[in-house]
Amino acid sequence: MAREGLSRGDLLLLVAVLAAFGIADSLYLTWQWYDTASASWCDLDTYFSCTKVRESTFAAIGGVPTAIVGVAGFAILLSLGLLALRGRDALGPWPTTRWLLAFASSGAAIGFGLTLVEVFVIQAICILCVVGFALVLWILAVAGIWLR
Amino acid sequence: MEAGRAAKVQRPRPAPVVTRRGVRLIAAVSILVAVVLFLIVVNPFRGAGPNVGQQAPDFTLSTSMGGTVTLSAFRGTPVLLEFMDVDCPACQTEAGNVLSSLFGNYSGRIRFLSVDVSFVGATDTDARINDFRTRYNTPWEYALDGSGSVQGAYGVRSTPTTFIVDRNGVILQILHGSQPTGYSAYAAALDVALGI
Repeated sequence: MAREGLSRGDLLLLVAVLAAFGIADSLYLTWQWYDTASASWCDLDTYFSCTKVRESTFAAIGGVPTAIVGVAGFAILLSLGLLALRGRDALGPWPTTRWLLAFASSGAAIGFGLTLVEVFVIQAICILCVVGFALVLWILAVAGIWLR
Repeated sequence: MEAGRAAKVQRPRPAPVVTRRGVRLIAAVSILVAVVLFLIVVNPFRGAGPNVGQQAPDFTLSTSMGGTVTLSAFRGTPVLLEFMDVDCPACQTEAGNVLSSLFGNYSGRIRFLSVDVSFVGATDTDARINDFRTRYNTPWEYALDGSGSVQGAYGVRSTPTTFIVDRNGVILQILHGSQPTGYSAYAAALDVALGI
């Protein structure tokens, strides 16, 4: 059921646009991880520091930057949003919007876990990571509340 | 069987309608998110720091070996002023591979000073800095900018950032990050400072 005033198509387009921004955000973080020559540009102080988070052991798993998971996750959300927008109502056993909800929930859970790690373990906040988390929460809200 | 396959592979149905109102709203959302990302990445409100040709801001800091160091006290001698962090991988590479060799060749004519801005990793201390000096064979003076005031005055937002300052305290060159050409990039800048 779509929110009053916005059609189902509007909401799916919104999901796709938010996911596209999520890809851009995650790609930038990935590039920052590989760019070892300099520190990040999103440092405001020692607490709000992308650099501090990037230099932590949580920024990569087995040499692969965590941000790549974000790129892949947002790419899946973008694909699902575009498929639904083109009229594909179901993929396999589930409606497309349920897939959307499932992937957005997974993304939000991962984002929530990483945010907890930032606050309590690394003790620094990467604002661009928080923006990614906010984007996936937004997609989750759209998929979970209005697109069900 | 055919019916089951048909149920699984669904043909695209007419696309959901996107309204004009929706497009306007999403355009507004897009602009908002883009502006937020731009402000975070570029941060135009951050201090820019001095440029080449401008006077290097003076400062006094405590050195890692005790005592103090004042930049203006070096007037009359060119200075290689490096902003670094002992935990920054690029700074470690630069110190061990490039700066220690430079110091060997230029130390009589150029003053070397490194300022630790404690950007990344554990909070830096004089003991950590002295460990770094020993490990990477960098025996010149190091100072800890614990408050971030010197870093702010120079607009440093990445490590290593190196300022080449001439005899009169004027910035001749700013080198951001580790240099792809290594030794020769610094040597060329120092030669200019020496008038070679």
